[in-house]
Amino acid sequence: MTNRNRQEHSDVPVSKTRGNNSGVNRNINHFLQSLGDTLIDFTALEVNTIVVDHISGHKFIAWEAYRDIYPISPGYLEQQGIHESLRDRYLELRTSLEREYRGLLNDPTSELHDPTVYEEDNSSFANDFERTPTRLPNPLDLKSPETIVAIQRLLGNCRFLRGLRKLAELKAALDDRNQTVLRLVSQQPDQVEMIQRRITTDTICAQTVIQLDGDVINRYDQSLFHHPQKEVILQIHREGVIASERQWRGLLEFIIGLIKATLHKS
Amino acid sequence: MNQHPRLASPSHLLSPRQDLAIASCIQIEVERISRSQVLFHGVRFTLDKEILHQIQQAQQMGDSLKLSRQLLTDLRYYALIDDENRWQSGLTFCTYYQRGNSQEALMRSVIGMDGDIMHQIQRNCLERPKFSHQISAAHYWLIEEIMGQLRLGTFLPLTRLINGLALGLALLIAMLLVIPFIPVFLKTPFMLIAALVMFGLFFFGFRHLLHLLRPTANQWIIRRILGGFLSSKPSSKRFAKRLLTRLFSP
Repeated sequence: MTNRNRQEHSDVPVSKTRGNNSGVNRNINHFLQSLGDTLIDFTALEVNTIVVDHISGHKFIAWEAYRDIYPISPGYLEQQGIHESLRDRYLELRTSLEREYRGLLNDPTSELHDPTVYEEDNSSFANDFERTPTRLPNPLDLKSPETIVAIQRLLGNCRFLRGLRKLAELKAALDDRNQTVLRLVSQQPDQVEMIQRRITTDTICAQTVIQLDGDVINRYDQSLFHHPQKEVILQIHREGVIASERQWRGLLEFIIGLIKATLHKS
Repeated sequence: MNQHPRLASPSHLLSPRQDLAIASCIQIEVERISRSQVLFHGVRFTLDKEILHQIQQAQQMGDSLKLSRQLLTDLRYYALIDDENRWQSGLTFCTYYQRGNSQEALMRSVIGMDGDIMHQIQRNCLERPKFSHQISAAHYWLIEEIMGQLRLGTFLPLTRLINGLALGLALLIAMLLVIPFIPVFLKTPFMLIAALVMFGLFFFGFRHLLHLLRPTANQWIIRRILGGFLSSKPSSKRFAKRLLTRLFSP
């Protein structure tokens, strides 16, 4: 009798552990799946070097970044007091966000794939900002539970998050630039034209894309070639490319090693 | 995965004192927002003239930086998982330069997990080409050192454990077989050689068998660690981090 009792008692934790274990395994498998998906998506290493006024201590919080980029529109930028010369770049961020999302909706391998939204021309949104309705869930309308669920799903998508992170980084740099411009304009109201000219020649960016097949593509901002520190920037970018390749390889080896160790007994 | 990266690389190690000085500039920036949730903001390098000089020396000598196990565990964790238990979307590294009492951010890099990498450099810094070059070289080098050491090294105590277990088992069996025949052994001492040979055979046999089980143990432990990382319970996370710190060589 006592024995049977003991048996029954010990059964409870056993089944509980089993339940936990399958949950853990599901978590691990889901996690590995998303790692694997990203590795499959990987086609090129892209290194960007940007010269900025200030390095912002910007902290990436997905929800906040989404809430801040989503409402960007010509009217909103005006209302927020963003300087005219920078508005196009803000709108570009918003367009990229939309494009990122539509890419996911149209991609059959994505968990956000929606077969009812098939668009041949992905760029239509960019052409007509005001009139094309957005497909992104509205983070400012938190009354409807469907929207909240949609946002949670969206922000749970690794690919979208990575894109969002990059856009948030660019937005932080733009916000900073906006502050500088507004300050300059208020200090020297008669030199608006000069300030505007400086802005267009002052955002330097160099980009190198190394594709898996070995092709290397370099893109430079035109203004770079007239920049007084052209050589320094180019050298820092070149070294950044070499370093990035090694940095990325380190990260990749860590992740692949982990996947291998988790899946195979090797 | 079984090969320790440092064994394969010809680079030297820094002296412990230099290691300590350079490693002290690496700081993980986190913000606790609730009891169970910690936001990871990135890795911060705070350089000054002295540390910059030491990094330059290390670069020239081809030395590599030895990170502490604890730091490495934290970095591995944050390289994998974000505050919502999703896969980390990117790692941010920021370099500050300290002059007197003030610190200024000069470089910032975001390494996206999909191979999108963005380096930002502060404009004023470029006006001093030599300095800006030193800063960028140190910044890149530190990130490289960190990323290069993330890969899991050898699984530490398993070899020792396997040898110990095999030795114990072989001894036990040899004793069990020898004890009933002690009078025989006392009469014919050359039987001792036979016993030793038998013991040796048992030892190597067990060791081989245990080595066969090693991959399974390895896999089990890594799944344990990953499962703990992905758990929503802070205690499981802590346990997994402890396992990772203790069991894997840096």
